[in-house]
This record gives sequence, C-alpha cells and structure tokens, in this order.
Amino acid sequence: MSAEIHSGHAAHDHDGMAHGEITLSGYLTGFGLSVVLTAIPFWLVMS
Amino acid sequence: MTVNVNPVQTGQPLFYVVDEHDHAEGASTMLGFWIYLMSDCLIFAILFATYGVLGGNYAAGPAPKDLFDLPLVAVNTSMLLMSSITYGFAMLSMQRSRLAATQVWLAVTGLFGLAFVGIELSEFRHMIHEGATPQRSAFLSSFFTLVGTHGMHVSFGLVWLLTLMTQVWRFGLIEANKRRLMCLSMFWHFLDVVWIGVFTFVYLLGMLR
Repeated sequence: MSAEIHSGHAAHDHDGMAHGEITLSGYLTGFGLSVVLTAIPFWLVMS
Repeated sequence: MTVNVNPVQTGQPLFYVVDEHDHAEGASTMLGFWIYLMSDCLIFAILFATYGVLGGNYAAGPAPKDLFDLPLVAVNTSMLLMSSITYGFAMLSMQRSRLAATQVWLAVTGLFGLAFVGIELSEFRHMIHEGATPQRSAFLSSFFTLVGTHGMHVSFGLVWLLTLMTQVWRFGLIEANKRRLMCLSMFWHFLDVVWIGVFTFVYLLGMLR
C-alpha cells in the first residue's frame, strides 16, 4: 500500500517545467488559426 | 517519527500519505496557478452572465449600434492577438536561454498590451463624453464592468510583465524566473481567450442585436 503511494509521487519528481517543449510551429499554428477565426466573424458582422 | 498510529500497521485502509517527504521547489506552482486561473474564469463567467441578462436594458439610452466602433475594436483585438504571439516568441527565446531576445520580446508584448489598454481607455473616454456612462443604463453598467474588469486584468498583467523583466534583468533566466514567466504566459493567453469572448458576445452580437 505504502509502495503504491510512493510510485505515484515519483511521477512528478522532475523539474518544474511540466508543460513540455514549446515549439515555434505550435505557436504559429495557434496564431494563424486565431487570426482566421477572428477575421471571419468580424467580416461577417461588418459587411 | 509520527505521533499518529500508522493505519497500515493497524490494518486500516490508507487514504493519505503518512510519511513526511520533500516536494521539489515550484513543483505544485502550475496546479496552484491553474486553480487561480479557473477561479478568475468564474469571475468572468459571472460578468458575462450578468451582461447576458442586462445587456438589452438600454433605459431609452444609447444602444451598442450608437456607441461601438467596430474597426477600432478590430484594431484592439489584433493588438491583443499580436501580444500573445510575441509572448510566445519570448517563451521560445527563454527555452533557448537567450536572455536579450527574451527581454526584447517581453518588451514588445508590453507595448502591444499598452496599446490595447490605451485604445480601450480612449474608447471609454469617448463613450463617457457622449453621456454613455456606467450610470446611464443597466446595459452600460454591465458593459463597463465586464470590459473594464478585463482591461484591469491586462493592466495588472503589464505591471507583472515589468516586474518579471526586472527580475530577469537582475537574476537572469534562473529556474524560478522561468517558472514565473510560464505563469504570466498562461495568464496572458487566458486574457486573450477572455477577450475573444468579449468581442464576440459584447461587440459583434451587440451590433446584431
């Protein structure tokens, strides 16, 4: 029982950056999508 | 040495960790910050709901069509979207341990944020000048509360950004500063997401109302 609890803790013993690698392509994809998805509703309402 | 009787020895089921153990510094920061962000999300949820109920009560005063300048809102939105991608560039520079580039991208992010707050304040000033004050109608009360709360978050984010730039300048890209920059990154993107809700729900749907 006690051993199980310890194995659960070992899982997040690595350093504080729990978010993993940040990639340029990931950011650019998100930015491109946000621009397109923002432009469409603005265009729909303004025209 | 624990004072309590260890439940394992007495054959009882164990529901919590009885032994004392260390946690790595900052290991729980992300969980705590997510809890903060989601509680902040509840504040905005309440303000959105309030606006949803009161947003049509003009009290014979000005309506969204008389007040909102959509091209200006589009410019404002692009300021915030740009500040999100430049913050992303700052995080990428941080990941590659490039201190100067990180600081430059953080500064650019700050300028975009400043432009956003500036445009919003000039919009507010223009509205108040036309007599569309928060006291005028329930629509305007809920509008200023929702949009103003978001703008205040961005303003505090700018203070936080300046603080972290000073920290990075003094102590470099140490582990603690990286963690803090990650928290501000999440906060900044969160505000961007909330703004998506604001311009959709308040400005765009307001023009169609």
